[in-house]
Amino acid sequence: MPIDPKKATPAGEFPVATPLLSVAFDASGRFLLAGGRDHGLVAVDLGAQKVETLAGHDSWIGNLARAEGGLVISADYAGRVIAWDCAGSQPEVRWTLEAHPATIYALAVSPDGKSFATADRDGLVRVWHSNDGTPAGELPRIAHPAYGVALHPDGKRVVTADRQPQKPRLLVHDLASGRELLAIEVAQLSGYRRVEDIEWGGIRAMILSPDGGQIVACGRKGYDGTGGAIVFDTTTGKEIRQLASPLKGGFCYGARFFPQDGSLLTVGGDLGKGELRFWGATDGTDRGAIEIAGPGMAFDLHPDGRQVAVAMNVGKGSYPDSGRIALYRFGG
Amino acid sequence: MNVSPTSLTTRRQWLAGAASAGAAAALASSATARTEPKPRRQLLLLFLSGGASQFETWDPKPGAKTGGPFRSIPTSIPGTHIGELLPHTAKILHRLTVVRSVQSNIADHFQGHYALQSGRIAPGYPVLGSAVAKLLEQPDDVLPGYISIRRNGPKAYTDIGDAGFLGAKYDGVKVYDNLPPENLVRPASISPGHASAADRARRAADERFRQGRDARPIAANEATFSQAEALMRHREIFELAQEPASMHDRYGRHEFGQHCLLARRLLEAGVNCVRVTHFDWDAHQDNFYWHQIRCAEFDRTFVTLLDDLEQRGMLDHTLVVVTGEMGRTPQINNLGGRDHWGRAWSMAMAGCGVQQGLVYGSTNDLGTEVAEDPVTHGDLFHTYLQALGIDSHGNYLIDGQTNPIADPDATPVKALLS
Repeated sequence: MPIDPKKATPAGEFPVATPLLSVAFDASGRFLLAGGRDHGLVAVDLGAQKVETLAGHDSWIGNLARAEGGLVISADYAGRVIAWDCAGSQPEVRWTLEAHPATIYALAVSPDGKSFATADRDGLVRVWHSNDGTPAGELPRIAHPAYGVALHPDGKRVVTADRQPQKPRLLVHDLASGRELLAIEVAQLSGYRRVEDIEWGGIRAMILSPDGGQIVACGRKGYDGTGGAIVFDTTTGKEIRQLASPLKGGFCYGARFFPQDGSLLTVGGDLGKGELRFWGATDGTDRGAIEIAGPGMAFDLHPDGRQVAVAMNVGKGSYPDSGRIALYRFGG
Repeated sequence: MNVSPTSLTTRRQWLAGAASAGAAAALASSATARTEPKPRRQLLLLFLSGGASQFETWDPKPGAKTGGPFRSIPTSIPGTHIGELLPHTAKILHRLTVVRSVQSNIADHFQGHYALQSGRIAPGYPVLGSAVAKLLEQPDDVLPGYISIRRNGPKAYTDIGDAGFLGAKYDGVKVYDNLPPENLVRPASISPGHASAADRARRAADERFRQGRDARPIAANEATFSQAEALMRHREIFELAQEPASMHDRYGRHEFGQHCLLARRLLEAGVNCVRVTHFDWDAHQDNFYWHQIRCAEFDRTFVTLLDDLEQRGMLDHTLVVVTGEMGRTPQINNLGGRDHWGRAWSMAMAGCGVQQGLVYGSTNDLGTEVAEDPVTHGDLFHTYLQALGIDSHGNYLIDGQTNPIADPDATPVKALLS
């Protein structure tokens, strides 16, 4: 039975004082962590309905992801990574790592949760062991800022997404040798403007399907176009389909495959208008959206597969002044 | 005056002997009332086109809601911090003057470019480079007085402003991508004798055309020819390959680094004002990403440039100005960008005529407004000229008409001057 966005019901909302960039559930689903334009990590205890702010970072927290062993990994704009142990009564720091000399733009945990990858502004991509933060590999530096990274379920390949001007790229690498196995140019997500010679677009988020057979690149079509995602075959690099949101403006900031039915969920929007949009598993049919109050900057699926948490921003004009975490429950 | 960028002794001897009478003669008043022979002062304008963010550079507000993701770092001035994206500059801040209270109140590229270069809002006035070319002009100058180095790309607002009523002679020669102006080299098919004959014929035609007509367009035309001819004779200035590899590395092999290296060579050759445009600061999206890229280029190159000028004995007669046309908003927009902001922003100076180790003015905790000592674009224009030894309260005399050199409603900021 496919997930039906029309049957989604709100399951809670938590205002946050600062605009948000990232969100993740812990493995038990008890804690919801969110990071944003602040140094504090927001920890929502969904059982006690209590919100706390945790110290440890001293820059914006752009990425969060759930790893094995009850850990949630956070990464910030100063290159620091922290593993939060969520097994106790409140999240506590398990280990801290000065992982990169520059802003970390992407973080992804392997399907088995045992390792994770980080990618930075300078095109540096590193792989780490989740349990203790020790190095597990590193790719030769890629030529452009890396905005996306994913670890393939085969444990051998790493996929990166970058911001090469005019032709943002998806690169499939062999982790052991560092060799580039496949390069896919995604000009559809370029926002290059010749007048400034700046690439304003690029691939802003990227995921692999659970079997690793597909790559989903998220971004925006053109300088001031519409947010969207493009699905590629991981082996051949061929485009499978384009997913164009009817919502005008803003970026597509993230995607996830829904475990129950394989459908794809994307998040994005602009200030004052955001969405969680559902796409058919086999044909990419637009199956509708949940409208949210602001741009969805990130989202995560609850471990039970029945809930989703969206981090969005609200404010006046084009300036967000605060964030909001919204929970939705699916009956299907 | 035939000057090679590498013949420093000749250059210095010449500078030491240069009198200021020529420049003074160009003015109706005491605008260049310098009384003792000194090296002629020069101006290097580093224009951060698009508008750099004061928060990510000179006036960080770490921890404030408007502060952005980056930290501040201590500098060589005890107790003073700047943005962490400028680590090299932080180490030499004691050699700079930083103004944290620029209040131009202009949030438009075109108006900002004009106002920050001319010190005015009203149109028609010469921009800084043109003014300096005119006001520091010597009778035996050969090279153009104002050269602007920039990327050969889209022009947009970056080329706003010219010599205004000073005439085309002072408009400035534009150098694209470090290449000398086109057609500098006499084609091999034309012999030197033929070239000289053609030039004599051109001059004779000009002379006939001048009879009974307005002389200004002819003069401008002749000046343009002379400047092109001078550059033709000195095209070795543009041969950056003459510089050792280590110098290229120090400046940085990126566009801005190489443009600054050429700027030093042009100053060394005697050009009164050189402007280098550093592009792409207009970060309405991804401000923090772009400032990391831009600042990394600027930071190392800027410090190298100052060191190089100092080591060559040039910094004591060269004013280095770092500014853009505006600052950027305290608020961070939904796309992670900062927009245009003219109410409270920052610029910096180094070199001749200005204080060292001074941080002037301040903004409030959120950086939204100037808290102390506001400085306008008009005040800055006065201040640049004063630092160059020019009486900014003087007048131009053009065709019998006087025109104030700088906005009479603005004043030099004396605290900034040494």
